[in-house]
Amino acid sequence: MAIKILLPKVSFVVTEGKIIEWLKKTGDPVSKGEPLLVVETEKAAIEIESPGSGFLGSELAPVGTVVPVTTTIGYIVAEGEQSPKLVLPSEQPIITAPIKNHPEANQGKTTEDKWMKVSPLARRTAKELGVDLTKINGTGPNGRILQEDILAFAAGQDQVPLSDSSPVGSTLPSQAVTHDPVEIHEISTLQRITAERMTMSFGTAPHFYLNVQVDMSQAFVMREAYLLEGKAKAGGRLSFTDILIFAVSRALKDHPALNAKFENDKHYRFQNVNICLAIDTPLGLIAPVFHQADRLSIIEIHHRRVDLVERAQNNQLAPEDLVNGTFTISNLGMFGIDSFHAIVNPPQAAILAIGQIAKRPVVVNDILELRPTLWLSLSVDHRVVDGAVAARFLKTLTVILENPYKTLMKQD
Amino acid sequence: MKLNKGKFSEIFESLLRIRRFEEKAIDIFSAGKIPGFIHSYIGEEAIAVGVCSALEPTDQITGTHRGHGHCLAKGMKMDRMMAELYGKATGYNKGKGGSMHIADFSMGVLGCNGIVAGGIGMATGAAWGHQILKNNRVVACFFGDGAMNRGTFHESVNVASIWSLPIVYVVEANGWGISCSTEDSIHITDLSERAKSYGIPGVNLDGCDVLAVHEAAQAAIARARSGQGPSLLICNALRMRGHEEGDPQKYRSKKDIQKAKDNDPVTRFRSYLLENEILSKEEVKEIEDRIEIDVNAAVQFADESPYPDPVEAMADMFVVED
Repeated sequence: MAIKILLPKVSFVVTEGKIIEWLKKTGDPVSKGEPLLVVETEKAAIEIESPGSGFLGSELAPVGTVVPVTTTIGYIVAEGEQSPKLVLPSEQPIITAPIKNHPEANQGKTTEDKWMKVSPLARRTAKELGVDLTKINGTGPNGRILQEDILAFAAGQDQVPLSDSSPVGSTLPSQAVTHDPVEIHEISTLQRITAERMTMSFGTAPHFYLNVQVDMSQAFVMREAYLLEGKAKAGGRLSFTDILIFAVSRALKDHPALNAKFENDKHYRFQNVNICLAIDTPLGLIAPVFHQADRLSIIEIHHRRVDLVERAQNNQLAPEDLVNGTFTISNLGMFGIDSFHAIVNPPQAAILAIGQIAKRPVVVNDILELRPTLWLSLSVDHRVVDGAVAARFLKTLTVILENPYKTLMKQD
Repeated sequence: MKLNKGKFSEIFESLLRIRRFEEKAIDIFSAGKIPGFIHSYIGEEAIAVGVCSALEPTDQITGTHRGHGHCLAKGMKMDRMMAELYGKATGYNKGKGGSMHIADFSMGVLGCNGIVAGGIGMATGAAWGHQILKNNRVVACFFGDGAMNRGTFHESVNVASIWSLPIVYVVEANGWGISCSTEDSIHITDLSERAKSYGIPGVNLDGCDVLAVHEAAQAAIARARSGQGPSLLICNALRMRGHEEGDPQKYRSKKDIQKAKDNDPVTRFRSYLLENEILSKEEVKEIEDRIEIDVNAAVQFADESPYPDPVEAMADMFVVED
């Protein structure tokens, strides 16, 4: 006699469940107590054991079906026995053909990726608003569906049915809405990529942060001198960003451990120092590359920067402008930001966050002085370097920035 | 160990009765017919059976939230147990106790209860009562390794020790306090070491070996009955299923679960009986068939029994003094 496979009432608060995966195929032998399928309930995804021994019948509730607990979702039959006809509530479809092979079945590990990730709050909200979860693209970690996603989706949906279902003459259609309206913005590809890469970086690279205040008096004088000179030669306005790219490229040369990446439990040191500069554009954040910046003079860096920024703003960057970066600089000083922590630009090991140059009180020879200073904050992937290594790099960088002429004389 | 064939047979029946009863209860729970929770004792049966088979019928026990095994091992009947799980009027506690609060004083079952370590104080109090009444009774108090970190454990064992109360503390060390491993919650590996601090004997046992548990329980019960005070039996037996039915056990490795299944106390004792030719295959089969019939009859009894009359809701709930 065929044994019914019920969607089990796994807990007294659980009312329905969704079939996530059959771990056996039609016709497979099964024994009592063996994992048979995976069901997702309001509480968790659970492996359900076979209620009896025999062979998995030919009619099964398909993956994705949501049914109330204690619904029959298939049968276990004896050898040669005809599988009874399966009828699901509300005429949901049934698998009658042999179901697809599941190569990863029983391994359990890979099935998790296939499970729809939904926060419990989102699931409840979806239920309340009657939103179909399969139509939602989750924006949480690993595509997990969050309550905001449900609300955003529902807000988008509401506009259509509301006009139909509102009573004639109703002046307050929004009363029918059970939540505050939300405005949805499509994001650019750039924004999507940024979101993915930052999530990946912040989720996988363990970050730590080092902060240091740098005296920019000398750099300040040097820049003033260049500006005077630049006007004469029509060389343009040398910026502090140019000086910083210059200084970082030289410091990195002395500290190759930071010009590296972590992959498959190994450190890979890049042979070239290719510095990315984070640029805010109408389409989003982009970080074009100064290839072999350590071989460029400060004036060459300046010209490259002017060129890259202009093309970035006009969406004219070429693919080769964006590849093979090994270290990133992000400067928010022009917005009056004193200091901030950036997220490492994967697969790189570190990113330097630069704040504004401002006159700040510093102690020089036991006397309080006002000096133009800058806060540098280095975010580092701890898998690549330890704090002391990163601190030594930052020390070198500080020395270069505080004595730029020395480095200039050495190089130019 | 010297036991007669009848005793071996009785122990095997008791193990199997608990196992089949619970397997059936789990199926019925999955089908939605049993309200509340089911905390399965599967994998730990040898502890209740080993201890209760060494008790006299007039002796008493306290159980836990995982208490079906304690009740059945002490001799309670499957039909009224099943009816209690269903919440039926014919249940041992008229459906008011459910899975976690079955009690029958006439059988010496002072009660299972849903509070971790909740039974320890009651059992100790009962043992004190027996000492005062000089009635020669012993109490076996069952609780889990998780309960060993509750204050009631310390207070009760301490007082039982200083007053030499007739009690045996039986720890069902299944390795988990819901989802917290014992390893993470107790900083000693041999839990019986705790007995030293109370000046009482403590033994560490294979809780899947029903004969080992029986033998140790016999000694502890004899000691308690002769007025020498309590003992601590640590019976190690991993949970074969989740904390409660429906627990996906994400906190536990498949290896740990498999380890429990590989050490199934019922299978082990069955093999022991057959290999040592204590029971024949036919005799084992006869027992298995009989229990199958009993379990099905218990389910039928529970199915056909009426639910309690709502007007009875407050009956038996409070003691009214004359």
